[in-house]
Amino acid sequence: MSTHRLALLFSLMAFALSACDGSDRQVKKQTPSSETAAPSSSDSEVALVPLAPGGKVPLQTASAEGARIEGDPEQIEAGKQLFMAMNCVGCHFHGGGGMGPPLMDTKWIYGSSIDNIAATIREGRPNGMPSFRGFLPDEQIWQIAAYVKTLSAGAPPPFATQ
Amino acid sequence: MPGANTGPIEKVKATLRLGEQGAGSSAARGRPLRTACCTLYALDLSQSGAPLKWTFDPAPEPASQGVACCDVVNRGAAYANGKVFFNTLDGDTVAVDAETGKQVWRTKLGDIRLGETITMAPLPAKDKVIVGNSGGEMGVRGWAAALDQATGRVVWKATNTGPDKDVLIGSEFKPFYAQYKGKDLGVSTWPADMWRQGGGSVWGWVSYDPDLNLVYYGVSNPGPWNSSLRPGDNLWTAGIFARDLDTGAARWFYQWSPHDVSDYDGVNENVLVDLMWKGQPRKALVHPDRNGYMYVLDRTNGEVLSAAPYAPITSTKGVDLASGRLIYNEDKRPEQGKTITDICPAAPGAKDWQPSSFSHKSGLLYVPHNNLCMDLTEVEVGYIAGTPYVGTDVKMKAGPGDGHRGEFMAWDIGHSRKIWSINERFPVWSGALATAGDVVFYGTMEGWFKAVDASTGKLLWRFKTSSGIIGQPTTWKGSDGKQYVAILSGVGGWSGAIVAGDLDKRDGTAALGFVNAMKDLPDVTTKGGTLYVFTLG
Ligand code: HEC
Repeated sequence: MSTHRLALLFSLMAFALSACDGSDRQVKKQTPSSETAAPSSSDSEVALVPLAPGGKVPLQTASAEGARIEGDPEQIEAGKQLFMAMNCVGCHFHGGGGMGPPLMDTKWIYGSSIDNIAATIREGRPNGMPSFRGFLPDEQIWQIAAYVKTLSAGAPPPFATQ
Repeated sequence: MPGANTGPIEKVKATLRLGEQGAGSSAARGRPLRTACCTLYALDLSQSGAPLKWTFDPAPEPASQGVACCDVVNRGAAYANGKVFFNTLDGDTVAVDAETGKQVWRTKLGDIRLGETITMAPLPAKDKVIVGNSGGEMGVRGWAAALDQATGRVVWKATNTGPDKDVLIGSEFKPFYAQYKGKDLGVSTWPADMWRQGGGSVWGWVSYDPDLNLVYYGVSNPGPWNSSLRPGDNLWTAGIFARDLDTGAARWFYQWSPHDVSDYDGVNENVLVDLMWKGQPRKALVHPDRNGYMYVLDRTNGEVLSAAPYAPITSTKGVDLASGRLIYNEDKRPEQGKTITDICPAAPGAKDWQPSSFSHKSGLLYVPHNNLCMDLTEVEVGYIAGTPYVGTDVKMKAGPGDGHRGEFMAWDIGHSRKIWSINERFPVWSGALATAGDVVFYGTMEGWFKAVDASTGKLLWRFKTSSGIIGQPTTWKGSDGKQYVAILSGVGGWSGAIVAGDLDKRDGTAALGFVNAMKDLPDVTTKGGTLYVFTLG
């Protein structure tokens, strides 16, 4: 493959996402440690189970970033483009799954919240989900997570280029 | 092969639940050994109930499951000289002592970070064992290697793309057709540098001719699937190599599908038979390719003697025997951004990995295969190491007929024609087994294990196993003098991924588009993983 083609792909993405550059920088300023300290998901705390010792529910905090991006059509569209360009589609197809599990059903191994999904993309998962930490800026991870959330909303699968 | 007669099959002799998955099997001194995804089991057949003698778990990296294109499978283990050889999903070849189950050596060959896995069954030949990588959907650079059986040392490794020195093309290379002659064609038949992630893996079957001292293996599809991105013949993908066993030096090559546009991997089995061809004795090689043609080659030099269609084909119009080239149907050539409909065969081909079986008695080849077509749209894709490099949206469907997606046929090699054929609802994804007693065995994805008459195809016996069958039947003669036949039941593989991976059928493109053709499979079977052993009476 041509490195040239990939460069083209990335520049297209950069174009599609240029509108978000400002907020991206802003978020990074708010959480200066986000590049180095884990988790880089700014202020979110995620749990993978509904159980906690003492008969309680686990402590969880939804992130402001996730709440801001979730449901925003522009961010979702950007996330959809990234889902294709980052080859998520090659493992999960248009939500039905293949090498990776389906993303359009209601079964979630690692949680269904946008914070859970962003954590999955960022950290990877043991049975073969790659970690995109460092490969994608956090802003784009949130955008993809917002798109992935829409797949299980019962809508018919969206098709990229037809 | 011991002579089974056509009498009834007595009873289930032993069963063993192995957990999910598994396709391979191999017999070693009356003791069948199996790899169920990752674990190797040895059963003691001399005792009633065939108790487990040992198990060997190579504990591959769990992350390897994410880069295995078409479900997590292992196509089998092989026995030679006191050792069992098999490959791990995370790219190792392992030798295990057949008596004790202890590891003798383990050699790392593939890197999952580049999308490489190993799913094929190794072939022991003389003092070596031949292996190759998988990952044609991940932009790997394909290769085959010969390892020393005693130590696991790599004796030679030949790539299937790139410069001649890597492909082990030198002065001994004497291909039959002109298009394979020239320097570094594994570079010049690709756009700049694309050969570096051009696929061409070796995940199917290897054959060995001890008289010629040649190994034969097919090479997988080029990557990415999106063919518009890689103009050129894309050598040495979607073809077959003959190599010197000892040095790996290429002797000849033939390309089934030049510039493949449909994911027609060239990896199907190569059956070596000596036959009379137009009155002349020939050392032949018979190969049912994914592109739908049954090839008969002269295995000494790579000349095509015949290429006859054995399934419905719309993607191509035939093979020109003078030039050896496949003639494409321009109406069905994929284009970026445009949906091309009713391409037959579909991506898994008229026949995929499921090995056929030749009967020396009937002289027929028994072939489990598919009846599938597809709609295909090429889409943009960029190479990112360790992620899929495909660039197509595919939706498969049943080929011509009443909706049946599978077939099991008997093929007369000498006359290039079907003798009989049985339609099956789903692709026949199990191997075939022909016995000297004129009985042929195969399994269906609903879970039926069937025995049919070798000359007529008439159903003689069937047994419903607990899950769909994608394994290979094996037979052997026990120490009690009886003949046994074994099958591993447990649905999966590319065709069965909808069940094995709980895929969502609302997305027809799931599992590279196979889900679209298998939406009714979850209605008739569930996951499994059970070995059944029968005695023949
Ligand atoms: C190389 C194949 C591969 C690629 C590329 C890939 N995934 Fe995955 N993904 C997997 C596998 C395998 C799992 C299951 C991991 C496990 O069970 O531990 C998974 C799991 C997930 C899950 C968790 C599903 C659940 O049920 O909790 C999400 C969400 C996800 N992937 C999204 C993505 C996104 C978004 C991308 C692209 C940025 C992506 N994946 C790229 C293979 C892949």
